[in-house]
Order: sequence, then structure tokens, then C-alpha cells
Amino acid sequence: MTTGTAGAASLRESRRVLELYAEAIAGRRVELRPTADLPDLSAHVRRDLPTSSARCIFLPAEVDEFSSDTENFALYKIAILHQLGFWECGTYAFALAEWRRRAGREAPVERIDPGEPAAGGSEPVEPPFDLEAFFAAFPRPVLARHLFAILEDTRIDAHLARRYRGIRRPLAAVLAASLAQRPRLELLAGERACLEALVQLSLGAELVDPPADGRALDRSLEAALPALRRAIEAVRGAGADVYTTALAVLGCTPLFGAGDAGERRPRAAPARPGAALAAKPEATAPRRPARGASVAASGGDELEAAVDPVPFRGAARPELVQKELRLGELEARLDAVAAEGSPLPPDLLRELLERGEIEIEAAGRRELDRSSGLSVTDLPGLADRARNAVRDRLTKAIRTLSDELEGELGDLSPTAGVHYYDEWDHERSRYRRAWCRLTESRLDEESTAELDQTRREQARLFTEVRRQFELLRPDARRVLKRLTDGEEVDLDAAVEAHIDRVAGLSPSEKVYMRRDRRDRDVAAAFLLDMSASTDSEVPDIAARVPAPPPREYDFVGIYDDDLSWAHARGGSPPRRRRVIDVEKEALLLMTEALDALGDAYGVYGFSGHGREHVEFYVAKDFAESCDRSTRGRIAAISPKRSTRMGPAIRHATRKLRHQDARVRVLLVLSDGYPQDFDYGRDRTSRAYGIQDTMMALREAELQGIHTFCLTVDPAGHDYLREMCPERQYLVIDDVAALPRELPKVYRGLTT
Amino acid sequence: MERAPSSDLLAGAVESSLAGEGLDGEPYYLAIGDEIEVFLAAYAARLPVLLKGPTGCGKTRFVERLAHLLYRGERSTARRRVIDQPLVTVACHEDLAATDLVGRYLLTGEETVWIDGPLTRAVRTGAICYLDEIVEARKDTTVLIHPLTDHRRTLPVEKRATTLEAHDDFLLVISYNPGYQSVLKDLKPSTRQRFVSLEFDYPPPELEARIIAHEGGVDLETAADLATLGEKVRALREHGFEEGASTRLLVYAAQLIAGGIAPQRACEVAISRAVTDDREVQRAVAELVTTIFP
Repeated sequence: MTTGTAGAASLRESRRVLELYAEAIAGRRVELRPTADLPDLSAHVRRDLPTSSARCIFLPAEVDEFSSDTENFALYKIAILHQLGFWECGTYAFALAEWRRRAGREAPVERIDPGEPAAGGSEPVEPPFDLEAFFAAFPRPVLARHLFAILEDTRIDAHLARRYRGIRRPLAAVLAASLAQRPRLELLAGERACLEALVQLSLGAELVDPPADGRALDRSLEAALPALRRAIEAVRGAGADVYTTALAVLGCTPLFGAGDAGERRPRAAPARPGAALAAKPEATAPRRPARGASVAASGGDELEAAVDPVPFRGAARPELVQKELRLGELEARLDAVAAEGSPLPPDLLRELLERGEIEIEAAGRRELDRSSGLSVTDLPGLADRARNAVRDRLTKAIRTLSDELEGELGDLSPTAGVHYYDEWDHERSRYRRAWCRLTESRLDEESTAELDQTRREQARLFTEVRRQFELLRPDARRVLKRLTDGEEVDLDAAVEAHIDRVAGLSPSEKVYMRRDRRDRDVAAAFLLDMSASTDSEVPDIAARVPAPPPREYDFVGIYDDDLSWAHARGGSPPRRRRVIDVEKEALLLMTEALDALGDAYGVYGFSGHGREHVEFYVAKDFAESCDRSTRGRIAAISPKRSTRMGPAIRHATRKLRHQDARVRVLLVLSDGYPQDFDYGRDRTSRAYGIQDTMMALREAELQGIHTFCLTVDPAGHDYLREMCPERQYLVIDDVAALPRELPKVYRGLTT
Repeated sequence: MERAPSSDLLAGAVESSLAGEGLDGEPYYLAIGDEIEVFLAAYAARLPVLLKGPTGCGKTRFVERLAHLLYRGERSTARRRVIDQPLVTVACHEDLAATDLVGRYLLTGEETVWIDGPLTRAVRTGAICYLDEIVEARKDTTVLIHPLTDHRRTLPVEKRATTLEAHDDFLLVISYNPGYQSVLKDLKPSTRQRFVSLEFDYPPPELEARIIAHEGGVDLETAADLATLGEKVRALREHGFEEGASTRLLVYAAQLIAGGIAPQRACEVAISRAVTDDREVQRAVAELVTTIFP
């Protein structure tokens, strides 16, 4: 696929819309990733084909099959619907037990029976994976998987057309276009021809007319065609489920012979799938063709290459998804047993014992048997041993499984907390859609010793600010008098009015009063620049210079000056203090003040490296209360890498938007202009970053969020003037003054 | 000299009643579970009822249906049939104070005139009083509710220094939307525990389709598509809108379709534009619409 074609649809540009679309269809979050994220070593999959893991759908980065972008976009939609169709149609829910019930005991899977694990040596936490076991039970597993895939694709397309009426027409177009790209059947022979015919039938081909050029179809195909057609018909039916497909696979395999001796699991006696099928009423159709119709066998790998995939259907690997789901189950179970100190729930313990997942010595067993009703908790040490045993097994199983899956599907680490944001390109005057990938994570707690020391040193400032913020608390009730309408009569006013009337004057109508409650309704987000430059040392002005007089700042009037500069100039011993330390101190002060005041607030930091790695750190979210661990996370704020401000502001804006408050404030604390190595084409130019930040701030304003930028960069005037709305920034010349300035700014903004 | 109080003096309480149109026809309500039986049993014991559920899922319609059933329909009694206004609905809002519910003195001319509030009127006449979105009202309103909801069944009318005993047929019904502003405004446990709680949610797609077909006047296939759309859009609830596409919005869309508007346009104006301002979410909803509607 070429890049940059006019009509092409690109995943990057449409990612958010498509993800929302997928989320709506699936009813849960679905991450869309480019297929390039798949590891190269995948055995069964071409890397450019759509496929799914349990949480993600992998899609090609660009689609330009059709000439118009609408059609190409529709192709994305269809590919997503198809991938989600596996969930909607219960492909991953395939269970051997149910299959056995449906197919009867004659099914070839009878050899492996996960329901009855062999005693002793087996690993009961990891029973065979249903689909994998199903495929493996065939004499030719690769063939079985192929047939299953083609037939499931068919079933899902039929389901989509039934369920989503609007997609019928575009789907039909895509099917027709896919059919047009298939190789010509009459040029193929043997198994290849049969598989290809199945694919073409599934795409809606009739395969009845004699080929135009007079060349006849391969004879073996001719014979197999009715059976293939019946399989397709069966899975297209409205009532078809995954077991219908499985039965159809069983019906088709005899067409393909027994395969090479080289293929896995050669069987002494040929499978008799026909018997299993005969047990099913709907299975009367696929009759076993005469032996002569069996096409020549070929090796599994050869077969692999023989079927061209249908691009929009992709290459589903349901057995991998099943494994991933099992992995999730195992992890949940590990969580359940891992809680140290809490007793293992007796039910779980009993279940584990009964399933043989923990072993206890004979003595214990006897004791257990004696103790009436399996009151296993009475056994000393058993719970611990059981926990350890189970945990070991689970951990082992999880590790094995995740290693295997990572090899197949790439990094499966949870990607919750990944957000994509647009970026403003001022040179082109348009947004680059979903340009930045922002990862939200929580800071790990660190020791608060240093912060606590600062707090002790600055105790007076802390107390002062706290008291002032307490005073800001709204009065519980305020009475508004002399209103034209209210809940009570304002007696004074009423008497006056009456007197007026008696006196022949025109009385005032304002004779009511109302008790008014003015709640403070504020939500504030503090967004802290954690760029590498915050590592620089703060010149200790305080040590050298006497307290400066209050100075005139560039902006006026939003705060009053009742916090004297004389405070907090205590003679603390000179200590190496970095910009970030001062920022942290200011934040700590704010958290205490805001707790006293009762405003909702969040504390966040940001840094990153490039547009794909914007990092957003959470020290305190709005919903959390401020406690020791919050302080620990504030302590963990440390200089990282660069300053891509736009996406961080957009993300903080998004968080604020979810706050239900009358006044919403975003305070950005930084130490320099926004920059990142790819923030704009020209690395040396600041314009791109400044313009993008400006747009991000403007977006926040448009959403009713007040923004304010504080910077400790003395050169800040130049760019802040450009970046911020008027009177919404402050340059602090003396970094050490930040802790005192921040509360004032906050008060000015929110009252 | 006595003037009738001008209606804007009562503007604090937005009131509506079944008097008139609603009374004649039976309000349409499709039961999802056993809610009708439970409500009837609660009414028989005069237990106050709390309806919990998201906006537009049919709480108000449910109350109307039962008011009709109890005061006009097959479960009515002669005494109830003569009650003029069997359902008094008050939509609560943040400025709604106790006086708005109980009543107040108005100064008219040289004297003050007492005007009953909607709650007092219902208590006096034996109607069902339905306080919609009770958490929105000011806290002092809950104080009124407490004596009405236990064995006392009385309403203190503080301004007149009297206590009104509730009519035998009176019932208090309140509604509450837990998903909406739940952090800031929650029903106090002491209040909540006085009510029989009926939980409502959007109906399952098959039933919702029937409701849409009935209310919106569209064929069942279109209604089923709308129900599917509603289900899918609700999955996006976290993205910029607290409330998903309600049954009410789906009915609106159906009514537009029945009125000759193309389905895609009808869904756009009734659903995607209504639930969110986020352009990309709107686009995603639009894509859903083209997926579902032919």
C-alpha cells in the first residue's frame, strides 16, 4: 500500500473515531493498533492483515483499496465489524465440552479429554485450550484451522449483514471486490482448488457457469463442490453458531485426504467423522464423497501458502485469543489467592483440594477427612501451603502463557491509560489528528522525608496559608433581603411597604427575602512541568539578599498582597534546591490549603520524549483524598525529559471536563517554553510548540476552563505573552517565591 | 379583596398533572419485570416508593401508568375515581425549597393569603405526589418527607403551625438518578431507607424496540434498529456524556422518521447532537447510524 494517496484512509487520522466506533459496537474499550505492532515472527499471519487479540484489533495503517476515502473508511469499519464479529458470534466461546455434546462421542477430539485430567502429573490450572485442542485432534490440524477460519469468516459476514442493515451494501461491495481479486479457479488443481473454491463461495461466487475460456475445473474440485457449497450454506444460516462451523469443518475434511505422514499426529485408523455428523439432524447434508474425490494430500506448510487470505477478513487466530482470555482468568485467580495475610477462602481451598491443585501429605489428608465437613481452615499451616502451591502453579502457568502470547502478538502489557491527542500545526493551520500518544500512569510513592523537612522549615508559611484558605470557606448561609420574590416575607420591608401604602406613597414590591447558600464549587488541576531542566539549581537569593519589597508583576489585580514577604525568610541552612523541589514544595502547600478549603483538585506532572511518548503522571486524582501516599507521590515528582505541553494540557482539560464544578481551573507550572525533539519540523524553532500550547489552552478556555500559566523562567515574558490569554500568566523571577505566589494566584482565580 | 396568586409566584415548583389529556387514555407503559406488581403491593400498604434510574428510561411514564391504573383504571375505587388530580408531579431543581412544596403566604393587597403547595394539595386530596429528581432539591425538602413516609403519615405545615394528616389514598413517590452528579448530590441513607426502591434501566433491546415502535409510530424493524443504536451509543457513555441515548431520545428519533425524515438525519438531530458536543464522538455515532440503518 502506498502512503499519502489522496483517497486513502489512515488509521492514525481516524483512530479516535474508529476506536469509539469499535467501543460502541463491542460495548467495551477496544484499542486499535497498526498491524506493524505485531511481531515479525508470527507463524501463521501475514503482518499486514487485520487480526485481534483479546483487547486490541490490529489494522493496516492505511487503506487505499478504493478510490474514495469514504469507501476506504467504510472498509475500516467493515474490518472492525468483522473482527468484533468473532466476539458477537461466540467464536472465542468455543468449548470442547459443548462441542462433544453437539457432535456426539464419535468426534475426533475424544482422544484428548480435558474434563478428566490424568491423575498426578497433569497441570490442572492449565487444561488444554479448547480451539487449539480441537484443531490438534484432526489428522491435519493446519487444514482444520484453515477450513475453520474460512467458514467462521463466512458465518460472521452473514451475521453482520443480518444484524447491521446499513452495512449490507458496503459489505456486498467489499465482498465483490475481494472476489474479483481471487485467482482463477480453473488454473488451480487439487487441494488448492478446493480451498480456493471454498473461499470464493464464501465471497458469494456461484461457480455454476462453465468458465469462459472453456477450461474445465479440476475434476476433484468438481466432485467436492456440492459438499463445499453445503458447508457454506450451513454456516450462513441464521441459527448457525461456532459448533455449526466446527461440524462443517468436520464435513469438509474428508474431501482433503489424510495428509502427509509428515504432518502431526498420524492416526492408525482414519477418522470417521461421518459417524459423528450422522448423529446430528442438520448433518444429513454433507455426505462423505467417494474416495476418489479425495484430493491429493499435501503437507501442512505447503497448504499454508496455498490459500490467499481475504484482506478485509484478515487472519483471525481465535486459539490465541482464547489463550489470552485464559491468561486473564489465571491472573484474576492469582489475585484472589495472593492477598497475603487474609485467609484463603475455605470454598476456594476446598475446590483446589478437590481438583487436586494442591497436595497435602497423607497425614493432612487423613486429618482433613476426619474433620467433619471439610473445615479445612482448622488445619494448621494448610492454608499457607495451599496458597503457596496455588500461587506457584498459577505464576508458572501465567508466565508460560504470556511468553507464548507475547511471541505471537507482541507486547500485551495493559495499555489502559493510553490517549491520543490532536496537535495544532500552525504552519499548515490545521490539526494533526491523533498525533500524540499520551500515556497516563501513577507515580510510585517515595519517601517524604525531604518534603517533610521543608514543611517543618516553612511551618509558618504553611500555617498562614492554611488559615487564609480556611477563611475562604463560604459562609453556611447568607440571607438576601428585599427581593421581589423569595421564600419568606422580609418583615421589615413588608412593614415599610404597608406604611408607605397607608401614607399614600407607592410601596416597594421588594418584600421578600431568601436564604441563599453560596457553595464554593471549584475544581482545580495542577499541571507540573517535569522536564529535565527543572533539575537546575535555584539560586539562593534569600541567602544573599534581604527580603525584596513586593514587586509589580506583569499582570494586575487577581491577587491581593496580604501574605507578607517577610514570612518564610527564616534562616534555613543553605541546601541544594532545584527548581523541581520548589515546585513540589509549592504543590504540597497547595494540597494542604485546598484540603482546608475543600476544593476538588488534582495534581499531575508531565514529560515525555517525542509524540509517541508523552508521559502524564498522576500524583493525585480528583476523586482521591490527600493522604500520606499522595505526599509520597508528590515527593516522587522528578525531572524527566522534554516538555511537550499541548497534549498534557489537553489531557488535564479532559480530566477537568469530567469534574462537575462551577469553576474549573487549570494551573500550569513550568520552567521554560514548550519543546520536544519533534515538536515541529524545525527543532530550533519554538513557534510550533508555542502555537500548539496556545491552541491547547484556548481549547480549554472554550470548554469553560480557566487556565493560568506560571513560569519561573525569567525569559518567560516573550513566549507567555504569545501563548496565554491576557492576564492569565505570571512570570516569577525569584523561583523561591513560588510557594508563596501560587496560593495567591489560586485565590485570585477562584474567588 | 383577594386576588388569585399569579402563577409566576409558584414558579419555584414546575408542576404538571394528569388532569386533562393524560387521564382519558391509558398511558402506555411496557413492563420490564415485576415493577407493576411491586408498586401495586406497595400502594396497597401505602409504602412510599423510590424510583431509581437514568434519565428518559420511563420512570415518569411508569408513575403515570400506575396513577391511571389506581385512580381511573381497573384498580381504582369509587373514592379514588373522584379525585380530580390523581398525580401531582414536581420536577425538583436546586432552588426548590420546602415552602415551594408545602405552600406559602402571599401578600395580596392588605392581607396575606395562604396558598397550598403541590405536596400539601396531594396530601389533602389523596393523590400520588411524584417528586422527580429529588436530590436536586434543597436539603430542607427531605425533612418534610420523613414524617410523611413512616407510620405518622403527616405533613408539618410550619408556617401555619399545623400538621396535616395525609388522606388515606395519598402516596409519595420520588425518583432519583444515581449516575447523575452522584458525587455531589446523593440521597441520604436516612431518607433512602424510608422507601421501597424500584430500579429502572433502559429496557432490553427487544422490549425497547416495542416501546419505540409504539411511541414513535415506526415499523418494528426500524424500531429494532433504533434500539440497537441506543444500546451501542450507551456503550460510549464514558466519552463526554454522563447519560447515554435514552429511550426517550430514541422515541424522538422514531417520531422524526415517522414524520418523513431520513433515518440518518433523524438520528443525527435526535441522538448524536443531543448526547454530546464532542465532534469525534458525534462522528463515531454517525458511523454507527450508517452501520445500522440501510
